[in-house]
Amino acid sequence: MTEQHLEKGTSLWADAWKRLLRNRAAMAGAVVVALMALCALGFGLISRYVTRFTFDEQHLEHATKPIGARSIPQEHYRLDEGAKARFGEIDADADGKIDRFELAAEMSRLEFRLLDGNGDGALDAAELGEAPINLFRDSAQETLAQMDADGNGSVHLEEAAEITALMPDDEARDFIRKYDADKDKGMSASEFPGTPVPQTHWFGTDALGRDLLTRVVMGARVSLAVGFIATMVSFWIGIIWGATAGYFGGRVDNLMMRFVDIMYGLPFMFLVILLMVIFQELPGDAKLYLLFLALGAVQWLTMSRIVRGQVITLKSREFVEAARAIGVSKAKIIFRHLIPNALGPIIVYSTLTVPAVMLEEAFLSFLGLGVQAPYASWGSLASDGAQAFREYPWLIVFPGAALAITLLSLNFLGDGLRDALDPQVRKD
Amino acid sequence: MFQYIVKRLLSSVGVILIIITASFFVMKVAPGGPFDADRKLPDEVKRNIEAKYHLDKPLWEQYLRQMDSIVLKGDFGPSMKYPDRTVNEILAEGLPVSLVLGFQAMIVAVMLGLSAGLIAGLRQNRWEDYGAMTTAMAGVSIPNFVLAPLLIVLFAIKLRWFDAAGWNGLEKGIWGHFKSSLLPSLTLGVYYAAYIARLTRSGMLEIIRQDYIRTARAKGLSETVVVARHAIKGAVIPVVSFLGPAFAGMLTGSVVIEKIFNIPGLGTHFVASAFNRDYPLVLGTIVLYSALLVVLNLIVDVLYTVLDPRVSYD
Repeated sequence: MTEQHLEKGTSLWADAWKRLLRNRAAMAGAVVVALMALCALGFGLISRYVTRFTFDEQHLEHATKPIGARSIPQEHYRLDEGAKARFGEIDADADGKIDRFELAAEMSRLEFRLLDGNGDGALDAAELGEAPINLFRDSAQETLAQMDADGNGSVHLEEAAEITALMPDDEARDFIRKYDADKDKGMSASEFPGTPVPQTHWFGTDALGRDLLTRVVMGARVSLAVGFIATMVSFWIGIIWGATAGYFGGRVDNLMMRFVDIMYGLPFMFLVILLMVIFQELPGDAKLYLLFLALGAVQWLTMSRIVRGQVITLKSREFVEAARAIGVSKAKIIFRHLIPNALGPIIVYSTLTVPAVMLEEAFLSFLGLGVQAPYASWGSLASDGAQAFREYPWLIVFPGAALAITLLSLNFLGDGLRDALDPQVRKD
Repeated sequence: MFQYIVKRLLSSVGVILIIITASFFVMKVAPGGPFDADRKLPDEVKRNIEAKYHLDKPLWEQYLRQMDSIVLKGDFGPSMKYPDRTVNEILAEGLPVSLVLGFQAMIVAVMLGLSAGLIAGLRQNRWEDYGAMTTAMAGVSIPNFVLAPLLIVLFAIKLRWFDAAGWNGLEKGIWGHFKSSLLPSLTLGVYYAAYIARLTRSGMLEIIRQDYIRTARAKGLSETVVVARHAIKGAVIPVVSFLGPAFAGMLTGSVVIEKIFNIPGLGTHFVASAFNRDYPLVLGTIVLYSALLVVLNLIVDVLYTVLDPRVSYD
């Protein structure tokens, strides 16, 4: 053999990869999906270090508060060590310990200072306008008129009690209990670790005062999981069904594809709805598996048609003939030779199945048939939000936007993959 | 052709029988029944009620009775939740509402989708194309239960152009009906409009490169005539085959739309009856939906042969 200099060939996949990288919409979609997946996987860390709220902790006094409202996290709180220096100040009755009323009062003063932008010790209309309570409510002037009991044109600390109640009584008691070593229902100077730092609800809170941002991140986890797992279910059923029908052909093919045709004619989502209603009393986990199965079962039909078509065109090629000639088993021919070569369209269709399944899950959750509280998916969150979207628009806007953005990204990615893997379509 | 239609109708009957059977048994194996909801009934009363609905008979007899009354008499029996009303009455009330909603949504979808798709296809790779296709992508990605509240807040509450909820028949005049039905039809149709736009665009791009279009141009026809007389017909073929699945999707989607807009259609009854375990009503809605679907799919397939002479079922 003489040594030859050969042009390095590019495989179909390398080619497709290059085309995909050039498609800006698809790459943007991929980045967004990756970020969402990262958030979903890192939910625990995000809850602990970023939002600092857990997905099910309730702040009933701060129920349905708009964007920017503040609460004290119950579990992942931080401490303001600087407050230790002001022990005497916080201990209003100077009995040497801070009880829950004194702590709550201190937290109210803190919230008041946060609202009081110019630091003059009174809230004017402009400052009230900035306060989260006003973002979706009446005008700042109205709020001012309502709260200004003494009618001097501004709101001072006592008058603002309604909007500065940062720490409800029971939360203050719980906090003190944690640090109250000698069990005298108060923190002495040595026990006092500082005041807890309030944390902002960036997406507002829901009807039980739960942090919406944390719940939306939690929802990412459930929604994406449903999307990917149900797609895997449809992927495997579709591949096995379609490849078997396509490879064996003849009567088997006829029978199997006739079945698919019949299933196509069914109002499948209605059967899924019926199934989910009927098995509503199942425990949470079992219901989730049923959801995966049911949604996957809706989607496998098209997949099996695609795989069958691919297998039929591929099975008369020489490489399959060769494999058969040397005695490779049927299953091996299907899974080692046919399916890998049909992978392009299968991947494209799977990518586009993920958003379809996520949409269906959201649809079921919207009807109250999907994920059950306290767990949440974007669909179930949007469903809660839809109950009162006129008064509390943020409750539907954020989960709805998260869902729409993710679906949009997945669709762009799927389209890009199709363009990349199927250059024939791309000639347009 | 005639033979084909008869064959399809026969197999449809088979499909619907399968659906009745499947739904019947799914509901029977399910835990919980229609009469153990709110308060516990005395055993005596419960036995009487069960006897009235033949729930005390063996399963196969219940099944045969049900099949007999549905298939031979077209009678779904009395509702279990509303004892003074028959399922047929309830369905007859909800069906027209859902059908009108569905057809209006279909009109929205086809009109919006075709025009956007044609413009995008004819102006390929120009801003009209990118604009239409990005909008279409957004259309398939925004769930209708998110879109609906946004539209309601904007058009019904802020601008007060349309009704926020409810359904007026024609008794309030055409405008009254329009005011209550435009937003639901739009939200229901938008997803399919987006899909149709994409199909039309790619159909158009393929057709415009065909030889017969080149011939039409070569013989000096104006571009308008080429597009209107020759290209569109070919470009809408994939759209026609999509109408079947689209209608199925709209029937399902209307469950949510009816809930948001508080419309007394079939979808509302379906979900409520499933939750109430009102088995006759559940069965009735499912059978009605399936029958609708089967018939519409058949119409679509027949339309297909009319549009595309290459397709023939004989």
